[in-house]
Amino acid sequence: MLFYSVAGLVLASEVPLAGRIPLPQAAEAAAIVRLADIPDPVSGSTVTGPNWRAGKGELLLSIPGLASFLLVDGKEIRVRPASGGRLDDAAAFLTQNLLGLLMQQRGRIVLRASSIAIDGRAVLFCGDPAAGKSTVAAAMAARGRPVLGDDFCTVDWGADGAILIHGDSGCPMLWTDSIEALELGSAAGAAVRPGCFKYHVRPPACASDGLPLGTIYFLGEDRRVETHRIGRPRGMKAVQAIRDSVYRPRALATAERRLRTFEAAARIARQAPMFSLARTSGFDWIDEGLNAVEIGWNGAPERRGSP
Amino acid sequence: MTHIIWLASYPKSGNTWMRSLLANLTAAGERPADINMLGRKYGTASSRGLFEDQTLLDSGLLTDDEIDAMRPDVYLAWADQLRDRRDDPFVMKCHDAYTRLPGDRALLGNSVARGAIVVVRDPRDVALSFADHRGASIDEVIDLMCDPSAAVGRSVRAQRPQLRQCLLDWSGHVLSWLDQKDVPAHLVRYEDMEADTIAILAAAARFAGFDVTRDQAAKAARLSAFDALRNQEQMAGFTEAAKDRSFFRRGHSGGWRTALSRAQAERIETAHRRTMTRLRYAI
Repeated sequence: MLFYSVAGLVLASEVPLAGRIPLPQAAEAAAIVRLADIPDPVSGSTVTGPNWRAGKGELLLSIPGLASFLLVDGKEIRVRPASGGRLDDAAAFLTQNLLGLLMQQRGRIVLRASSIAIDGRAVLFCGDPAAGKSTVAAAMAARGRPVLGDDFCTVDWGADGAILIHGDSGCPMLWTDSIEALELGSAAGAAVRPGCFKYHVRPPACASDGLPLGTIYFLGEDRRVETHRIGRPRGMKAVQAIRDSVYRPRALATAERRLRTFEAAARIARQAPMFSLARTSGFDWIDEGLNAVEIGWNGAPERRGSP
Repeated sequence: MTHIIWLASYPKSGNTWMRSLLANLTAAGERPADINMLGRKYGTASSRGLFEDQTLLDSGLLTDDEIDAMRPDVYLAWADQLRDRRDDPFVMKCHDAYTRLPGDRALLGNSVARGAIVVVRDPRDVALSFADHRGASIDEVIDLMCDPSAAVGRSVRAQRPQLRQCLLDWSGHVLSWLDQKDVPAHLVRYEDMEADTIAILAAAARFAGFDVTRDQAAKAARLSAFDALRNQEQMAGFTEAAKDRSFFRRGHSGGWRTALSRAQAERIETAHRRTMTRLRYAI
């Protein structure tokens, strides 16, 4: 059995999880990943998708020809590679997708964001697929900012009502073009999945988990800006931006869970400083854009670039 | 009854114009629909976000072929959700050719849509506009339009915001939509849109299931006139434009006559003669 730290929890796994932070032998794990048969169908499904079904305490997800996964009560992930499928393939989805869904099944608020630490506080970069979340995290790491997580982060509230952020405790995963643009070839490890062009990139430093929230940036490509532009969503736009950043919202299996998640989104929007970060295509914006983020951290973010 | 209407076209054939026209059918007063909100008002078949929301998976871990194998079920699930949410048609932009997967299943989910508005344009004008949009030479784009394995959005060294879209060659693309039997197709020629925007829009809108009057169609045509769209782009930019290039470039047909060499025009005419003839493009 192997042990890992994921979003502040100890995870035991029969399957090696590349890119996750390994732990020494742990006495007790909060959740376990095991290779096992999976019963079909899931009893009492309340929500379904094209390749998954969720019921009370269960989520069955299949990837045709590759693997099936059953998440149980936020405590267990059962993995069954497809006939002729490779365990390496299943492990890639475990590492990146299933752990976020597991956190969600545990009732935690999960955002689709990369996260880094600046002066002991978490800075989040939310965004759609291909927005550049991982690239920004890796570029910030190269500037000496410890990485908290790459794919998702979980949000908790401390006893004093302050927001605490747990990253996913994983290495940034970058495509070839990002690795070349950021000159991170020497830090690049194995492909996330055999044969794909996305690689684990070991950051110089990782942050300890459970940091107070500093700032949230909503990152997106906008070809209209010259380099980048920072703005500030307010009111309902801010709430909507957080709601749009909830990790895999379709998997929230009950109306009560969906309501609670969206109430949490509104609470985050009230408490957290939030900015939009529109960036042009390619990588030319990164130096100037991340300078602005760091300036913003020390004072009011400046508007730079031109529409 | 499903609500999805495919708005299908080869790139740079008038898809955005038709989306703007349809969006302006319900414009409030004289304020035109924001060209930068068309993607939110309607959908895009190749949206990576839609795929990930529906499958719960990181599409970056899947090959383009593995993604394609799951796409039919994504649209079926999406159609079910739309049915629960709304009564009006949901127009989805689509540049994919109408292709079939191994096992003869349609990439777009067989009868998942109630119909397809298929917009076509003279391929000689498409070449001109597509070359400008891609920042490529006209000859390179003609090569693409003659390549049966042509695709856009392949994720090889980098992840693209859109999923891979197989185009086939230009004729293959057009005929794939017009000759498929899964969903009713309504053909719209770009040149006819130019000649009588109101009538062509009204017919397409009624086909899609919009309840539209001639006055609404006339207003939509006015708000979506080429100059109006270009003004919007000049004032606020257009997110679908290539970097440093205008999306709404010329807007009228026949530009190829002066911009293409005789050899370039003949390459297109030779490769696509039968389809051009069927679509009444003079050679």
